[in-house]
Amino acid sequence: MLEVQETFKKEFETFKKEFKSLNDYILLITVDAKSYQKAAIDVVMSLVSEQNIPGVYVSLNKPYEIIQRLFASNNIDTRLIIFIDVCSRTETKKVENCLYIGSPEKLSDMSVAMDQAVRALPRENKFLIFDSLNTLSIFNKPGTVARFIHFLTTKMREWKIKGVIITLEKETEPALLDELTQFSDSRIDIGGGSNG
Amino acid sequence: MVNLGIVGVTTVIFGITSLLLISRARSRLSEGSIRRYMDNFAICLAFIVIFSIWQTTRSLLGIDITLEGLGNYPEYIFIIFAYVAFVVASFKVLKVSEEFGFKEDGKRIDKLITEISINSQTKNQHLAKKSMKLNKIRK
Repeated sequence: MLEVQETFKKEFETFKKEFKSLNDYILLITVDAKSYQKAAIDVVMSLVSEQNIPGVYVSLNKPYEIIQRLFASNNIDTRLIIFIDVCSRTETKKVENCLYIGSPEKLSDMSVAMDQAVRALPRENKFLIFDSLNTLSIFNKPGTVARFIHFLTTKMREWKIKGVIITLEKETEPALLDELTQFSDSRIDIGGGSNG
Repeated sequence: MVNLGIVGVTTVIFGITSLLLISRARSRLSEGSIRRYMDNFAICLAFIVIFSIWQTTRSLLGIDITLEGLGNYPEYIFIIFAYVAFVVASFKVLKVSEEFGFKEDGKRIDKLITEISINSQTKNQHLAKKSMKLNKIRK
């Protein structure tokens, strides 16, 4: 487990060095279930705590309260992040700096929310973390997910942001993963696979 | 009379085209706030289109339809319904803007980043002064 974390840190540091000069990129992180949480925290820590970059965190796996607690326990300033909670089963509502969408099936609402949140961030340097893509596949048809991926990557380019897409490698369809790798600038694999 | 007929038919065509476009847009959206707003908008438009069809038909055929207690032009009921639906749709838009509007969050974050950068600058200056003092003492 520790070895995996070290590998991720190493790969992420290499990635940061390579893309340091770039304001915008798309990074795909494929993880195994064990290292998933640590990977997400490390990415947010690097962007928020180390570089003071504001951003948007789209969560399909954990409710806002849990993520906030998790980030706070890792000394991440959650005030710099706009959260979009897609996993909590509730009506669409906004509480503090979080918008609850209500269901991962509401892709249109999710898209509008992401667009509005990213555009509201005032600085040029900003990020969007999509956590995680494989959960989307549970609730939507493969064709719909593929279209959404295309939309998301195109939008990330248009917004000129640091885009990070996290997905569990084993739970993601190989064709979908290939497509996503093709759209991304770099890919970091944790828990098997190779660097792209 | 002919001119009015042309205007009426054109209005109906535009209205029906708009309804078809909304229907196509709606079918592409998944369930949620945006789709519900579109439903409200479609209802408003539907009332106006019904009003236009009624009025155009009446003016082309020269028929006067009167309903007891509703005056000479019952088609105006649809305009009233359309305005009511517009009020409901506007209220829904207000709700959507409350949910999806992040402008205030953006301003708050901007202020916060400015504060953080000022604090870190002050801290760095303080540290620099401290290390200069230490260097002087060492010398």
